[in-house]
Amino acid sequence: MRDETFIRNTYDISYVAKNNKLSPMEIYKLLPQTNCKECGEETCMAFAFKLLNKGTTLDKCTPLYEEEYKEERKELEKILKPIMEADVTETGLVIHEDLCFGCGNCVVACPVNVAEDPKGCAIGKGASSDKVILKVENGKVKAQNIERCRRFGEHKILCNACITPCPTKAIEFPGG
Amino acid sequence: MICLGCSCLCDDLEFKNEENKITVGNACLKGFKRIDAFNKNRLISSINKKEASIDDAINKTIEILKNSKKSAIFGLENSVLEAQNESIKLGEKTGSIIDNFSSVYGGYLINRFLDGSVNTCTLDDVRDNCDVSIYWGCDPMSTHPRLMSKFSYYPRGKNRQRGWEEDRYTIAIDARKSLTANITKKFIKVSPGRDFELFKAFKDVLSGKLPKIGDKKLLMNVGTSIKKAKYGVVFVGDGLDYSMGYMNDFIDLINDIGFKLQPVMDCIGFNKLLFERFRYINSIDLEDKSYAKDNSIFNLLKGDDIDSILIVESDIASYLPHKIAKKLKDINSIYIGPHSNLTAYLSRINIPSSISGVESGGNAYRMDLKEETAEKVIDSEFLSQYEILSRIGEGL
Ligand code: SF4
Ligand code: SF4
Ligand code: SF4
Repeated sequence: MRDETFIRNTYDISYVAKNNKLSPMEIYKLLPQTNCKECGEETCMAFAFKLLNKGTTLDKCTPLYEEEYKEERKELEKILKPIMEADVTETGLVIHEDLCFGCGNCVVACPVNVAEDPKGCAIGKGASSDKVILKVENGKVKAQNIERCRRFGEHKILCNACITPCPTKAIEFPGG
Repeated sequence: MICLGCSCLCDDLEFKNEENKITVGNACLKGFKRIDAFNKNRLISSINKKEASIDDAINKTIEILKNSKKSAIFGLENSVLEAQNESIKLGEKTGSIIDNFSSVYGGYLINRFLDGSVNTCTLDDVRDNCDVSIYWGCDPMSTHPRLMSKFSYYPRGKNRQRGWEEDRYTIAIDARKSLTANITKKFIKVSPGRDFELFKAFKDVLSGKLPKIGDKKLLMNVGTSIKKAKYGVVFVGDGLDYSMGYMNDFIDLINDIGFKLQPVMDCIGFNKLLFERFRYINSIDLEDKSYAKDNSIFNLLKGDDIDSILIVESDIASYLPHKIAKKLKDINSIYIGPHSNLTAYLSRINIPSSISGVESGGNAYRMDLKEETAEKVIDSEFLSQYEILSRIGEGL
């Protein structure tokens, strides 16, 4: 079995959802239910499922942003907020510890590491600042300060800088 | 802390020891395992498979060397300069043959590297300037895991500020898709033993002709990048040396196109010491300071010229055909090293040593011959290889 360090803790997400008594049905009820496929999903129900699992975001459903669905949208934003907050503390970064051998390529390639640690990571050395995201310890890379990751938060971007240089594909963001 | 895990000699390790539970920041897994091995798989002092005190094992070694008609000293690629120097002294005293791993792989290239007939540069130059790097017959991601993150590919350098995507072009040439080839921008597969043909095809491309073999488009493409390179470096490993044998033409071409050459091999430090003293890097008979192919470990164990051999931290038996390695059982073989391995198992006397750079300090050369000083970070009761060798020397 793979020894994985899940930074995104799936248990936490279901906990949030459960605590808010949120089910796909409740989300579905507030969606346009036209199965227009604008969001890229086959049905509105499928979209609801994906929202709950953080596999997509509300803004993919463009009709919701029309005047007609204003109330529903507001309500959805409200009930999805705990999930969105979960999103704020996690980026979905997964490190497969069994594959990582601590080469440090990702450490040196991560733009945040480079910016935070000009005398260390930026020039190829190991992390010398507490503010970096990726750091190798005991031969394996560890992630910290996840909130600084470019994939984090409202203005997140699809950064790939730590994934591409990994020779063993030890880092991944399941779901893209 | 400096890591002596490979010839990258990383100097940025953060070491912590809390009640024998160690934490090492920044070292790769290879380096970490070497340090963490201080309480694993240690060699036990023994004579003829029977546990013995270190003093007895050392005295027995002295006795063997005194009575030996011809002895050999092998290994020390993974040792510090102090121990290497001591082994040369010991060899001179006993008139031994001295050899190391470079007689198995890489010797010719290292020789050319040390005699100053190839263009080289330091790894810091590579980091600051290199825009095109080629990895030919080597897989640094497996053997020297931090070479590319610290120096050749991913770091920002003085004149390479924009990051690896824009600033650095990388090509792997190998018989198989290695870990290194997984991340370089181009990969050229070459069948084993056909490096020389590929090299000729490159020569054609670089002189504006069409290549005769291989993927023409890929070769032309790579050729253009090589021509445009402002600061190119070729990293060469065992793989190329093995398949090309005679490398003069190859080295000439690299010099011609203005690229630098860096062997990715670990025995370079000891080879430098030997070269400075004797103008040879291996297979030297210290009795008359002469070189002969017959003095290589392979030929020594194959033939009957030696009756005793002292091996220092080198698991040579794992690299030789078993038929040849078995010979260690038939002669007076002494193994000195921190851990048990096949070579130690086959040897008659085992003398455990400290782990250099962990339990004892010392100096070492990085692959580009920069000297570093490693400190001791863990206390231990083991003698250093330097101490063991000098005690043997004194006893003679
Ligand atoms: S996704 Fe980008 S910012 Fe986040 S850890 Fe990876 S490289 Fe760094
Ligand atoms: S690049 Fe991959 S193998 Fe290297 S340290 Fe990062 S996760 Fe580990
Ligand atoms: S690359 Fe070599 S020197 Fe650097 S940490 Fe790894 S084993 Fe040690």
